[in-house]
Amino acid sequence: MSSSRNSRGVVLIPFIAALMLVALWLIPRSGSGSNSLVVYCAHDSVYADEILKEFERQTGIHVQVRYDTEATKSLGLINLILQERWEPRCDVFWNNEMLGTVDLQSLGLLEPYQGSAWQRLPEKYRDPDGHWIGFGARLRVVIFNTEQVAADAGMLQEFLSLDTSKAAIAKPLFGTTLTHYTVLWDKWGPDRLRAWHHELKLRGVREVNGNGPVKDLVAGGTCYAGLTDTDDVFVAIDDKRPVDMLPVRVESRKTPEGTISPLDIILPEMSPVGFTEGEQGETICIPNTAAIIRGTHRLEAAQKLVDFLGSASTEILLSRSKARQIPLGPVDETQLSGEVLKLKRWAEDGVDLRPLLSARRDCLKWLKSEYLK
Amino acid sequence: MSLFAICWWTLVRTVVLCLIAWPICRRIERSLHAAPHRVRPWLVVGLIAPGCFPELLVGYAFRDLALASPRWAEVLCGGLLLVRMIPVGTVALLIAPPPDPDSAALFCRRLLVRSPTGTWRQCVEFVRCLWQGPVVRALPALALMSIVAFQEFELAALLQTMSWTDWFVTAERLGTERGEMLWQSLWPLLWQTPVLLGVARWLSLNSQGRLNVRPMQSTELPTGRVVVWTGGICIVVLLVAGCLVPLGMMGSRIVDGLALLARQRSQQLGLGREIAISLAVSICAGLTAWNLSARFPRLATGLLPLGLFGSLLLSLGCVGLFQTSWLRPIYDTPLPWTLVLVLWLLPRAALLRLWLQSVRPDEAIHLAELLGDASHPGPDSRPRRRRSSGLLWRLRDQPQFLAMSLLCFWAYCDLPTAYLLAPTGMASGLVRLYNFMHFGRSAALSAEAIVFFGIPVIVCFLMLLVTRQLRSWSA
Repeated sequence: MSSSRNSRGVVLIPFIAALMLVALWLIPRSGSGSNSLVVYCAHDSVYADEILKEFERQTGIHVQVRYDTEATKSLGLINLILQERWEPRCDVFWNNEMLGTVDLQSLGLLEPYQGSAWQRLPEKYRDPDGHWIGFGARLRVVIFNTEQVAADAGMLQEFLSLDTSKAAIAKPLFGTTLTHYTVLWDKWGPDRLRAWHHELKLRGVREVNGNGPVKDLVAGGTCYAGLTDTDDVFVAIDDKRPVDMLPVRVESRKTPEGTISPLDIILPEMSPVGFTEGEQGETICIPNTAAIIRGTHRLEAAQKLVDFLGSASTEILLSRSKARQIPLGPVDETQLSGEVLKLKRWAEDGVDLRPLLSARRDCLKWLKSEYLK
Repeated sequence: MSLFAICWWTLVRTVVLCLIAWPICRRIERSLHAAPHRVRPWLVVGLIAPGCFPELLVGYAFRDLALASPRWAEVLCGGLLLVRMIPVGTVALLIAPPPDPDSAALFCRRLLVRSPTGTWRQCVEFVRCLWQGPVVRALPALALMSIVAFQEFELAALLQTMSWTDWFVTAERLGTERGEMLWQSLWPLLWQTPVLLGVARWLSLNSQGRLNVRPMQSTELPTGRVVVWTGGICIVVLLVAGCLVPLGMMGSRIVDGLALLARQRSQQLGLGREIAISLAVSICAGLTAWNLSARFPRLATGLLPLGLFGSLLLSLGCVGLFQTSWLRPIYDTPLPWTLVLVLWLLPRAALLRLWLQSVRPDEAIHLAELLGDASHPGPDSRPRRRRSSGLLWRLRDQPQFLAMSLLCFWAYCDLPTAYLLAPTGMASGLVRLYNFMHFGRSAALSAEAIVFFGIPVIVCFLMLLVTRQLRSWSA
């Protein structure tokens, strides 16, 4: 008898669990939740959560978020949006970089909207037709371990011309490192970038799965310098690690085909990080972007979120977060910290990323052939 | 590196690890047989614990070490994989039927071969005996271990070592065409297919009771204090490396992290919801797999090979399948997630059933049932029934309960399915923790990880206590 009671339990419990699962799935979709916005967010949830909760508090619109994994930043969600194009479940895409969003726009997957956020943001950081807006940016920087080397351009040139095995870089297939490579592809030309990349690998640069590990390697002293983003550097600084940073600056130095030599790589005017001395060249300033997905059933709520994300108050919130993201639109500068003001000055020299879509596609095609042979 | 080269690399690593793991499994098996009855359950728990300890926590704990010294990352990954493979191999050995011909027959054959009158035919016969005896007995254990090593995902990703699974996820995320992905998936499938089919056949034959599941008896194995101690030491090493060291590495700042978590109400609510979702889906999938393997053995047997392909390949295939036009309406529901978990758990459910079957004391259970038989009323019938109920719980129901809990816990800890198939708004905490783990170790993250993985264990023990108590009252 007890045996049959046990077997009844074994059938009943998964049934109850299934009901619970359905309830957990239905609750956000029913009643007031049926109006909830689905947001695909490539920005780190540790920072984005706070902003989206503030949006919920202010508007009463419930938000369901899907985050990407750290190792495949942004590309995972972009591909998901592509795969779901016939029946999109995402309403707003909050990307942590720009070119992926521009790619979606070129495929006709974004809905134009020229709201208050679009109007306040500089031309360089918005689509002319309103398909997306850029806000709260990061910069590509060289992170130094100050116990090993001084955070100085000359020192870096010297150090990298000798040994790159103590330098770290994230795999350029994803995220902001892909944008960095795209800029180099455009500024230097494919041949020089390829030669530079192969030279780096040949000389043993530490290639890891993301900007976070780059920061860890440098902060821990395993590597002396690395390429990462400002938000990662601030994580290390807040953790009282001996690190400092300088912005990556790139100059246009295309060379005619057939004149590339690996020796070019170690010439001082073009070091292995594409870094130029002093204040010459453009910085790589990568904004977050927000876009409405074409086919959304919650257009009004989506527009509200895009306006909220591109507002001055959100930019201030992002600049005050641990990531210290750089406001791109006009904000009350008395509310910004000294660190952010310095970043804002660097960001003014930012390269215009908008025309780089074809460079990104070509660069990604080449990188796929390198990493996924 | 190309997928072909990475597959080769993973295969070589798998073979090397299997060869290292095999003698250790044998040693532990002998030790378990030779150990005194009161010690044996502790040894079994110590053996299984590192195999069930969440991979994500292990990877998280050792991530910084691997990052600091990449040359050793591969060795570290191999070592940690061994810790996960050995329990699987040993359990497979424990449930494997004794060799036929046995060791005495083999010894006689060897004497014949070595004798001056030995002929080549006797040599062939000796090899045949060797194949049909120890080799055939070892094959399931080796095959299962090789599946564990070859399909590794989270550990390899967090330690940043080479693995075809990582290659596959990268390719998928980069938007590689579906046709191209299917074509590429042929390589890992090709490597695995013979092993998978072999294991599937063994499991299905066993689960249909066509093979003798009688485990080795103590008399068939060498005994002695040295045997017990060496196996015991192996188990302790596995336990330390696979559970205690990761816990210790995270534990140093865990109190600060828990204090932080206790102050953040919204964080608690979010984590609570994630745990509820993961618990619901894992209980649903775990018990469905268990029921399927028990009630519909033919169907379960037919689906076994699918489950052996691993959760990553299954999830990737399922994403593609549920995005086709006629299945799209159920794509954004918990159904694909649960379905893939059930398929993935079926071979594990079969293995656990086999193990329970092989260690089940049938005579004792029968006697306990007779003890509580209601057709023999008497003044002492109530205490007798209670005693019988207690015995049946210990001998029959508690092991089943623990096996089902283990199945659910595996589902709870599976990252690829949660990452690829969880519907919008039902994100599993596992994916969030995995994301944060790439940023490095922190007190808050360690605390959340401990709470996330600790809650199901606590729930399991509470349910165990409640069920036992309820049974005792109802008797």
